[in-house]
Amino acid sequence: MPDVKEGSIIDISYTIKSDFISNLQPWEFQQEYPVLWSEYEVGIPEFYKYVLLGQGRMKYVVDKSDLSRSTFHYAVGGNSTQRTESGTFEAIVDTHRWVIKDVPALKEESFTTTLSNHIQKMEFQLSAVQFPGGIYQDRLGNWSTVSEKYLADEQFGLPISRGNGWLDDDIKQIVKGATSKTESAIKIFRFVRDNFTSTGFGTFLSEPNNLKDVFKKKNGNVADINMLLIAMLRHEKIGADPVILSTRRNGVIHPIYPLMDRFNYLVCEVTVDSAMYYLDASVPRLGFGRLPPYCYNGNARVISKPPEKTVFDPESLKESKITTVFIGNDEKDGVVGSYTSTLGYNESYSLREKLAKMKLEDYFKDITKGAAAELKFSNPGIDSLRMYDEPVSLRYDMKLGFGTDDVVYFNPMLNDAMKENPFKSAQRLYPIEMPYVADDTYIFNMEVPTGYKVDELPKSARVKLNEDQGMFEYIILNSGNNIQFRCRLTLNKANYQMEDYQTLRDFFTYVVKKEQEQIVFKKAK
Amino acid sequence: MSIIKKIVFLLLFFMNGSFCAYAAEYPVSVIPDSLLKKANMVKRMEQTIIEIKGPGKARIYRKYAYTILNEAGERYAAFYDYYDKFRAINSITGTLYDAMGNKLKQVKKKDIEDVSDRDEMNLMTDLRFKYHNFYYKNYPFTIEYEEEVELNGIERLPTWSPLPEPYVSLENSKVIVVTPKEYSLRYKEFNYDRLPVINEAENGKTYLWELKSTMASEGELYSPEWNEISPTVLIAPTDFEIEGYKGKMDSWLHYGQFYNQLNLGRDILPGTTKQKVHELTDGLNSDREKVKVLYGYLQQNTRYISIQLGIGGLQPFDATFVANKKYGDCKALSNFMCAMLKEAGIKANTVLIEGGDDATPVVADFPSDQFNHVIACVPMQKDTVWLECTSQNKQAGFMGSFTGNRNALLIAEDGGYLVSTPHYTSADNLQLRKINATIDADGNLVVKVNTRFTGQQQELPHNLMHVATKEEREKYMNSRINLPTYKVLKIDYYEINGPLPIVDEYLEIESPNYASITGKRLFVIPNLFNKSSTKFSKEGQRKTPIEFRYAFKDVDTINITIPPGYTTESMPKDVSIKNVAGIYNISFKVNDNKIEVIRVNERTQGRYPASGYDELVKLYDEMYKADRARIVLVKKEG
Repeated sequence: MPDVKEGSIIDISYTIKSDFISNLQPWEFQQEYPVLWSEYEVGIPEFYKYVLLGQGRMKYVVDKSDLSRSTFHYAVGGNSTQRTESGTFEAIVDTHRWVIKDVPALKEESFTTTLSNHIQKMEFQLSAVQFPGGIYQDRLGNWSTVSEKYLADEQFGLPISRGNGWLDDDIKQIVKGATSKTESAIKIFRFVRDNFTSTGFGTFLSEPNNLKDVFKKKNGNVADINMLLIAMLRHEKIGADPVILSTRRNGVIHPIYPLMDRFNYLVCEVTVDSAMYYLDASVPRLGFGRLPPYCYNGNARVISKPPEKTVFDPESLKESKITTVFIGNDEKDGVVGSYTSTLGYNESYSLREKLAKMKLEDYFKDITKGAAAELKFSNPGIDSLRMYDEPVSLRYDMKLGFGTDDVVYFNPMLNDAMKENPFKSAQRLYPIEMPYVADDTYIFNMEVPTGYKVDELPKSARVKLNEDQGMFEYIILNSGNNIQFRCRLTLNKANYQMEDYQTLRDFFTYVVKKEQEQIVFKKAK
Repeated sequence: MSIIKKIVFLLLFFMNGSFCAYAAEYPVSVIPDSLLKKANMVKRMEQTIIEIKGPGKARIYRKYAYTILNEAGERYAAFYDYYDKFRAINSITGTLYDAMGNKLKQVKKKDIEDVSDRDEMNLMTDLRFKYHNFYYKNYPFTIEYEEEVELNGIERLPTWSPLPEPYVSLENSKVIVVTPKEYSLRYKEFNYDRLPVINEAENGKTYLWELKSTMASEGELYSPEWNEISPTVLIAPTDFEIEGYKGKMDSWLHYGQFYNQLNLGRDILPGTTKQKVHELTDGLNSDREKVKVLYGYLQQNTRYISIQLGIGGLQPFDATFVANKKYGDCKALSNFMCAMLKEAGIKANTVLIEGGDDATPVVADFPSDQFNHVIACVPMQKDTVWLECTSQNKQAGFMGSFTGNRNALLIAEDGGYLVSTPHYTSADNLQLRKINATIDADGNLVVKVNTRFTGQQQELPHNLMHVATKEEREKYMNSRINLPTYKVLKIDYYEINGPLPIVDEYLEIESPNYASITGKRLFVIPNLFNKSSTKFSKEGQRKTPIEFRYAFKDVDTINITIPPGYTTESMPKDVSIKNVAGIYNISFKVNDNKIEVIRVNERTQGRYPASGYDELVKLYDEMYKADRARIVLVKKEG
């Protein structure tokens, strides 16, 4: 369209003819661009029964239903042995019309799972078909019928229900030396995790009955890899079942109806020695019994007989971090200190990922280059780097140049102070969704440097986020020659309403302000 | 069997014989320690034989074996190569070996994935890829691939650059070119201290270049282009042929004549367009005005879309096509622009260029296809006008980061000439900022910012005004305004167009708790928006020269009014440095209740010896510290 300019109006219309009654077009009232008038009209004859799935908080300007009678033609049969039977019948048609005016545009923001969870939309799921005089055909099914179908499918349950004897020799090698069923499970899990590459998400095997192929090729989608894991566990008589879910970016699944095209991922539920674990062998370096944070998206379904429901709640995933710093006077070296931090599991995972591609010395140089010039860091060390089931501990030594200045300004949080508010936008149009909850503690002990005294100390403070949703504590004390400081930030909720945004933002503004405060030392006369 | 085939066979036989010691297994244990240092991948062997049969026919045999030492080297494990109308892949074999040298798997062409190159930019292209990966994760391991490619039409020959990246070491890499006796092969070596081994036989010539046992190097910031610091050999034909078009590449003049052949007769405009040209320009007085108007017409009436099919990768769609369809790629749009200018009686030419913010400079004494883009040029006595015909919002005459500061090939009526596009100095690429701010008794900051961007520095704000999404605008704000919490109260932009365009930006921002007020003290970092974030490591000896390709000058004049009743307790020191890395000055003053800071940072283009590295580190170190320097004020007694 060569003449398009600002202010132009483009008129487009099109018609779709479809035989797919199970795919009645959904309608999104909300888009990337503001919409002045969004209207959807649907006429559904009474012999097709749909479940209406509406989402969104905007009010409809028009929301009405009209019933009318209509005549339908039908033709049945018509192959070489039967003649075609045709005729007409009458049925009631329910015409529903929805209109919304002045719909604001969407905007992708940080801490959102996916916009499709929040936009105003209307979806339809075919639940049953019943022609006049005909039998009632349930199309929606329930979880029992769907599970049964899946368990009998060659691209799902059938391959893992077989004996899979071709695994005999390899598994013998893999579980050699295991003294319990749990140890066998761990060995098998680690074998799959460390030797297979994932080529993408999925809930079905990429080819029917392909487990042997996946084992040979050493790669497959998430379902291929985790189904192979299940097959191997079952080979050792360890109870394992597939669990299907929808990852955070993919939107939530329906809490009741088996709307199968909303699922995009598959993990493994294992019961061994009276304990239950969830395993995902498609993610490198992920520990036994851990799922990647993007799986924590609410409801999930265990496809077993009978089928079961389970929930991966982001609020059950807690990032706990503890950092301890000691600073003291050394006769020879002046003011020296040590730093130790045990990271949360997710931060540990990110660090392991980084250190797979770079050396510790280079990573260390990277994180300490931003520090004040008077701080010199040395001796970086990392514990549990390859113990993937455990979090990681990072430590290093410090030397502080107190020099000969009369006045020295010192931030007890050193390099760990929060510098930016994670919520930069002034405004927010939908809920805030964080992938986990957090508990971050910083403990600091310092001997007042020789020759100096404390002139000013920041004030202690404690602030709550909406009573019980979170807390920030800044406690600092100077007793005699010692300074004790403790700073703790906890967030107990993963999902916040859009109305809470300003409070959340103000909370973090306060945290940043406090964490930038300085202790002032003056030279003792 | 042809004689050339015999020569090739003998060469292959000879080389395979000399590899007997390794028995094609590549155990990792035999790699010398020196080659494992700082390496993520070791090239065990690499050999490319280019068999040229004529000006338009060649065959390439390539075989290589890479040992991937760790996860950082995993991208070298993948095989991919392209094919199109003029290039066919006849065979591929891939083999996987474990660390011990045991053969684990093998794959042939028929099992390899075939992918199209179509993406957002290319509406239609006949370029397709073959891609393969063993997806092996037990490091270290070795992959070996062998392929045979056939060229039916030659316009480019492969470059040999055995070590184009850091953290890769090499045991052996060689390239052999086999040509008929009368064929004039041209070549140019960089960082290669020997002569090629040339053998002349009765019915052919061979050329051999080889590199052995080279340790991995580290990536260094602000280095010259890789071909200038690592061994590279460019090869090109003298006579070449493609799709029935014959050309000569021994001089830029002759090379340009090939393009004249391709472009012949493609600049005919339909009658309606000719009329439009006259309608728009007949009443104007100067050529410069006419160019501006016609360029504006091009920008408002055409769109860029890339269509690269066969010879269409080199030859433009004709001007009538563009006039009717109102779209085209860079060649077609530039050709159309020149056709319109010709109709208005103004001489204009298409220019071949390598586009890109960080493009490799053209090797001036080696005529060959070093280009990936086409622009238009209107030569004038003074201030030649350059036009980017694929952009709907770029200013006439402005080349900027994408096509400025470099050599290009102008296609004149009689052939090709190397020319220079506009050069932008630090005085052309300015960021001049005036900041007036107030801090209240609680430490809250309110600030009004006026910034003038010129030349290459206005490209980002210019794009923000014309093409950015709301998300990109926010990302830009977040990166320029690195305040912990802020709210933008007002934004305004104003543009002044021209060959050196200007964008004026006006912002009003508030930031709660920016200054830290504790008890009797006030802490504030006065350099609000221009904090340098580059830091160099001081360890090790720098090997490569230092090169700055982009010049700029930033001046920040900052005035902050603070609450009355404070006196200074700690003032940062003024800094003034001038060395190879540029100029950095910052001065801090407090007068009554006003803080005044002036910051200047300037860098010129140039290349400096590696020994200047210490100066580079010093300037960036001091700048990093001083940019974040804090003023501490204390409440006056009484």
